[in-house]
Amino acid sequence: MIEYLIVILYISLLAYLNVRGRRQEIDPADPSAVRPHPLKSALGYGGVFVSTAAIIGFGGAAGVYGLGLLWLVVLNIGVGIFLAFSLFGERTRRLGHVLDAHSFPELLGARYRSGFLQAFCGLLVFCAMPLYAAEVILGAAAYIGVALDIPRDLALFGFSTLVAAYAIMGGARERRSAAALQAAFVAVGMLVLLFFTYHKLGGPLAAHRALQALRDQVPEALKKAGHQGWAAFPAFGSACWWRMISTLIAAVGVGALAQPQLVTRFFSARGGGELKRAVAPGAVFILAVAGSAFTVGALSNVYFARNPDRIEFARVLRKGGGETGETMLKEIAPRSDRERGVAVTTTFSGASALEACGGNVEEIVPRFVRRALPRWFTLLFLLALLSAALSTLRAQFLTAGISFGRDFYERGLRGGKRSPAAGAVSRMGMVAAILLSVGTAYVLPREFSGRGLEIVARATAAFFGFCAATFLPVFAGGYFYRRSTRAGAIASVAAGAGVYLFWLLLCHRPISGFLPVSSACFGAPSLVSALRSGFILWEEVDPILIALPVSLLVLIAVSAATRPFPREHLRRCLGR
Amino acid sequence: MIGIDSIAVWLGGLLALAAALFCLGYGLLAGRRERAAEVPEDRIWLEEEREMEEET
Repeated sequence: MIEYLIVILYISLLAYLNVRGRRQEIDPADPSAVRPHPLKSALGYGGVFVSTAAIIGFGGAAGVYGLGLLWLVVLNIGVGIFLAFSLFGERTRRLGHVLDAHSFPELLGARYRSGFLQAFCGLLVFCAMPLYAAEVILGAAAYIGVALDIPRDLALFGFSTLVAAYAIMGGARERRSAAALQAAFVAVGMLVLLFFTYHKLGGPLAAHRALQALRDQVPEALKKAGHQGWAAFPAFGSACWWRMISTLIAAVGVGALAQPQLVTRFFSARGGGELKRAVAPGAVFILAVAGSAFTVGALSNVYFARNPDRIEFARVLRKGGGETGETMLKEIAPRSDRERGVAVTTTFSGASALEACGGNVEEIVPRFVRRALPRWFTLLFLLALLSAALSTLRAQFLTAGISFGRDFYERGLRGGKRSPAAGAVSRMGMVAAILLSVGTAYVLPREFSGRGLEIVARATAAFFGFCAATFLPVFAGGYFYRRSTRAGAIASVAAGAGVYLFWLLLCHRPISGFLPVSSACFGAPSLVSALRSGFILWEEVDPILIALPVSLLVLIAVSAATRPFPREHLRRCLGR
Repeated sequence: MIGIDSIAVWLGGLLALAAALFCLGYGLLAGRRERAAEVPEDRIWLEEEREMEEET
């Protein structure tokens, strides 16, 4: 009874703050408007930055790869918070105000005086955002399904409906108080989860010692790929090492700097002082949420090893592809999975978290919470996750909608002429982004579920990496490279996006191996299959490590060969 | 025996804590500096922007 009362109270509070926030809307471009307190700004930023993709997706990935993922927390704090706020935040706020920019593509377009660049970036953001939003939805649906013991598809449908209502009916402006409350709820929920986990495993020291002792229980496939236990880094240069370092840590850590939905949050800051002050709560928030999620994910191996559960699995032979995958029969396999392919039932006890969850990485944290923690906490944690997912999804859909309506339609198709239909087109873009995201969230698990793949973490890393390779050189060059030109910026964005997609679809085996593009065109899952130069295993190298340097070099080379902007424009944009 | 791969993991955890503490100090110092300054930083920015607008 108390559980339901808490849920009703929480949703009522959120609705009240949304209604109150509607009356106190602030225009990001109006310098005289009342600005939020740095704590609210930092929590709002953190709430958008960290979502269910991080808690469920990367928490699950930590259950597979171990505590080495804590290096991502270092980058999240150092790059995603400290550099973003202290180096880029102030400049972005000022430039956005001077150039009257309301979106990330508009900021780039105005800085480089190019309507084409704005429209092109708007289109890229609109096309890429649903991939990331789908991962946030998938993460939330995985937890809802396990926590409430309902089929995954039903959880997806229910959550998608809630998201659509929240995003569409919530209006276009930010509700600072609601966002801050949601973020605070997430942080408290994660800290309580960490406390319970240590308590359950006999205290921090005992828990970490037990994790270190589990080295021999690493699944064979992971051992072959270089896994050395959950309390150690994978072997240097191994497939596991490259996956963890280049995809999960580097792509997400660096990509946080050029996230369209995060950059626009700087526009409404009061000034550089506020942004610097926001560094403190932002860093603490990331440590509490991401640090707890990764630690709990890795430590769940100790719990699952101590409490083995006999679970039945079905070995699914997929028709045509010749690939096999394992899907849990008893609890989570959707009926469609049982019906397709030839299923051979095997039974074994789960030793590692990955095995205990039938190869479903996204179910590691939800299953651990449901099995190891009290029922009331499962429900409270559900609210924390809903908070994390809703704040991120709202920002993502708003960004996608504005990118489509304002940047692509108004600037690209109408040549910058003000159109009364732009608002309606933005809303249509938002609805299209929601539909695309939900569709992607339905399709992805059907293809990849139960195969030991960290779908949510990898797809999130793909979005972050794509943003970094495509936008980061132009975004940073706009502030720190005065010689950068319009042609250089356009060439850099095109080269970054092109090289990233080329490497992702044709060379990066963890992705290209599952997509038909490389196999259909070249008859191989990767163009660089098993190619090794020293410690570099090319097929495992994340596209960001190839595309980002290319994009940067193109910006410098093309800018050097073309005419720079007039001094007045640079002075207006960059100051003295 | 604890190998270098295990030490790297511990180092990651410690660095995450150190980074958070550094940011905490940085943010608190920035707040103190802003309060101590005679002219709030926002006003300096606004004045600079106004000057630039006048010049252009």
